[in-house]
Amino acid sequence: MEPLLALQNVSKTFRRSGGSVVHAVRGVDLEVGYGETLALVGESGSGKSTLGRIALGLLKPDQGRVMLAGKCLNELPPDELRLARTAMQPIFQDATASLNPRRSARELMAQALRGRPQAIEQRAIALLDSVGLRPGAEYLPRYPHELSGGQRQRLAIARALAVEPKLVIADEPLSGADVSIRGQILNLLIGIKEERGVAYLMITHDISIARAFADRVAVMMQGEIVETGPAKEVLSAPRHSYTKQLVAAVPMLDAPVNAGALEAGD
Amino acid sequence: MAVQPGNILEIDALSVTYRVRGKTVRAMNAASLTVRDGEAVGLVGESGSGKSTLARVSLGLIPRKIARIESGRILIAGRDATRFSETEWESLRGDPVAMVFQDPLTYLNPVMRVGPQIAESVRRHTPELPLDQRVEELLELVKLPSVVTRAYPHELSGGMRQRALLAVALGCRPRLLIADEPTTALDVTTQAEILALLKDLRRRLGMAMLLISHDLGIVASACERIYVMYAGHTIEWGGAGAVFQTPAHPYTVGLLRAAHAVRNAEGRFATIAGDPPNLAELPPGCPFVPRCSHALAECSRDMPERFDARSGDPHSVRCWLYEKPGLGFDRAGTG
Ligand SMILES: Nc1ncnc2c1ncn2[C@@H]1O[C@H](COP(=O)(O)OP(=O)(O)O)[C@@H](O)[C@H]1O
Ligand SMILES: Nc1ncnc2c1ncn2[C@@H]1O[C@H](COP(=O)(O)OP(=O)(O)O)[C@@H](O)[C@H]1O
Ligand SMILES: [Mg+2]
Ligand SMILES: [Mg+2]
Repeated sequence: MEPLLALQNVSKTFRRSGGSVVHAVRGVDLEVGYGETLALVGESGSGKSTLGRIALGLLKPDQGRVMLAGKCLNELPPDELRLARTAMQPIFQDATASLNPRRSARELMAQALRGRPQAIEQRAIALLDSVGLRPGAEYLPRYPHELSGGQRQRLAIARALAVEPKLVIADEPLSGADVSIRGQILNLLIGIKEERGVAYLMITHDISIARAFADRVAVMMQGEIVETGPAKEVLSAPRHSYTKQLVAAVPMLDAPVNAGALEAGD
Repeated sequence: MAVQPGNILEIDALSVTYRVRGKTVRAMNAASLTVRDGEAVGLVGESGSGKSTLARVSLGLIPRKIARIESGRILIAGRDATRFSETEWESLRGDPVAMVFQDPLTYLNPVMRVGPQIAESVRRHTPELPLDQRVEELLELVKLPSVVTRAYPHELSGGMRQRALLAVALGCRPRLLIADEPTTALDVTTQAEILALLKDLRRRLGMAMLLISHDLGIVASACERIYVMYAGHTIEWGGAGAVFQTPAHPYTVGLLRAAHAVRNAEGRFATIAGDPPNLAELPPGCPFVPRCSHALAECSRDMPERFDARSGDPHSVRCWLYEKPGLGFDRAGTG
């Protein structure tokens, strides 16, 4: 079966103001299957976000093709491109930056939903409920600044889901989030995947999350993919020296031995 | 200040509030924490738990217009600094206590080259030493090439900026370095380098460190003793091994499970149910009660002073569950 997303020999070079050039992405081939979760890891500056933006069609590659469900995005006429693009939705690290502060949750959801006003309201409530902003109706009038960081990220996810994407591209959606919120957001994404079969391209620098969350991992270094494979395998027994370094850099916690004497005492 | 080994920092049942739009935010609630000379202590807790307030109040850096010390004491090298004036605090900053922050750019002077900034900190605290030599030494200590002296802060990478800020802090020869989320803004590889540097510096200079992070892994890898903070309370503390391997407070247990990114049989990650409390509307008793599946009636009334591990290992918890015999803890003072 053809993959949902295929990046073929994609390259992108940036010209800095001083005149120097940065080869942010160099001849990358990468595929994401239907319903698959792929983690893209690598140190900062390795080109992950640039690759994500190219996949989303937010950035034109200098070279190479972006194929979505067998169609080449670079060759589609504008109206078809717009349609194709809705099959992919982004979630960014900073939900604050991706949510217009002057729009209420109701307006933000309506923008994404389109259709008859009444149907929109109902679907917006259902979506807010499904991302754990319950009861959804109570969150409709709220503005982004009236939500906590975790709640804002949930709203961003609800909005991304409103267009029923086949692929969600999440660029560091959990950086800066506390561990307790991190688990809630990840569980939300897992639940959505089970219900709707969406695929994820998860860009992250968190090796332990990539290992536990993704089916497959791609390791990026200086614009190139240097290692790919099953996430658990690659990140538990890395082959490439760069992947080894990345994994070794993460201070790992062992699981707590007891759950305190608490459970013994129950 | 004459150096006799002891407690360089002692926070004793300290409560700090902020007045914000007519509301009182209780950022620290009878929190206690001690750092001994030469020791690496970690402070962990979710964002908003009061970690930065504790760090800042230890240097007299809370905004006087809106922040207030309600009760408790701060001792710096044995001196009661609780009611110090700004001038008195000024004499303690840098030496014996220095601090580095998550965002070095805010604390480095943007229009001054790095070299002179390091030199200034050296001049203020050890004027007797040859300046250039001392700046060179400091750069070497934080593993920066000497060309950096001529760079402006914005010309440096995130990791190099943090090293530069460290050099400024170390210029004062502190007995205690407080590092508030020093690696949070950095990517994993740079983060690992800065952590290794902090460990190395501590060993070489014999200075004490209070490392603050919401990332448990970071603190676990660098500290000998750990404090866990929740809603302004220090709820558990002890040796790193004890706290991380046999956590006692239900919050610490939940936090560690969540941090240990592993999925359960249903494929889900561990979480702590509910949300952190609103510090402007804290109910009496333990602030974790609404999220705690073990809570007893007394938990909503007040918080116990502390229970200490019977094993004699340094490990204490503020949780009524440990009043029950057989859990390996005794009420403080009764053991
Ligand atoms: N718009 C841009 N202009 C110039 N350089 C850029 C731009 N976007 C990214 N870069 C550079 O491309 C490289 C890769 O960046 P990025 O894709 O953001 O990496 P990552 O997401 O892995 O941290 C970096 O060196 C970065 O500075
Ligand atoms: N300067 C300030 N003015 C008002 N409120 C503050 C200020 N600094 C911190 N707070 C509040 O105090 C509480 C504790 O914050 P902080 O000490 O920064 O925690 P942490 O460092 O653990 O995230 C939070 O509710 C925060 O909003
Ligand atoms: Mg990025
Ligand atoms: Mg803080």
